[in-house]
Amino acid sequence: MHVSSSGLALALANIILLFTCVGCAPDGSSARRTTTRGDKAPAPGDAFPSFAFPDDGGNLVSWATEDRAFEAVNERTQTPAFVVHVFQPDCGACRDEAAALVSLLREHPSLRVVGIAHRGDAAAVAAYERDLDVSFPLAIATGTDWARTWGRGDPTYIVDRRGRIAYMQMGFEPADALLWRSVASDLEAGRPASVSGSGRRMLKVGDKLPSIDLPDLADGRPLRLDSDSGRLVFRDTDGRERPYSASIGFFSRY
Amino acid sequence: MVHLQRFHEAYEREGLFVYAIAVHEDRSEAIRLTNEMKITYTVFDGTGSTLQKRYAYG
Repeated sequence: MHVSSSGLALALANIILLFTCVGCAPDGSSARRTTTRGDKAPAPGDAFPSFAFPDDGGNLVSWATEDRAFEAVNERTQTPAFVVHVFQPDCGACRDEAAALVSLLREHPSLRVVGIAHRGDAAAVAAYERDLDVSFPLAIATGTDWARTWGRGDPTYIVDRRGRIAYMQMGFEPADALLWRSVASDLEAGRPASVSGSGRRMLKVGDKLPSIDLPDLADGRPLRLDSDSGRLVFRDTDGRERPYSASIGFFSRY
Repeated sequence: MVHLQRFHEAYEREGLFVYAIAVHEDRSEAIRLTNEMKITYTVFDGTGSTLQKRYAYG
């Protein structure tokens, strides 16, 4: 690999960061974009697609776009707001989100919530359900095209009675639960959702790489990867600065 | 992590900066695993950071 142009290098740095660690998807607040694999990324206003996936016991959990019916655990219903929690069993934020959805469901019993694992096997999903005492069905889409298109970013979708995505978010922060409540109340009252996303979004191709100011894992001393100036400069724990042409970075859960 | 160690060794001199941002509930375990994998590129401690909350999902 030979890199010399700093502009090109920064673009490369962004691309690689996306590819290796965070994927690429929109927050839904702007025009449709493509993901790094070239698939169309889901966005508010899109029809939520039909699916039928097994739960950890092999029972089918399904949503039918044609009649907007959700079927699980011997129940077939239509609902003013269908919430889809797409998760990975070993993801801490997903676990927090599942607990928050259990509370949401308690306050808004007209909702239907489904969890769909986009990674992990039946045993991992069963443990997730057991550990969190999840009160909604969990399906397993691991390895499917659906998971690749609709699972990137551990998203949450709230689908309205027309079968359209009214709200979506990537990842989870506790404040998101306030937005869900607002959207649920709107949809239950037959109003359009007043908010369509959390405003949080994943990096995408062409984004500026954020500067990183974090401690060194080993000794806790401060490190900095500076991209603010349009160049990549790394300041080590000893204070020395070194310029780089490109970078590859990723989040590691080990 | 191990695969990128080879990238680090091959291209660091040519200007490629390889790094990881560790997101792990047990920092000492993250250090142990990093050492076990013989990682010599930069590993930031990102657990609980704004960067993690904003970007570490997928």
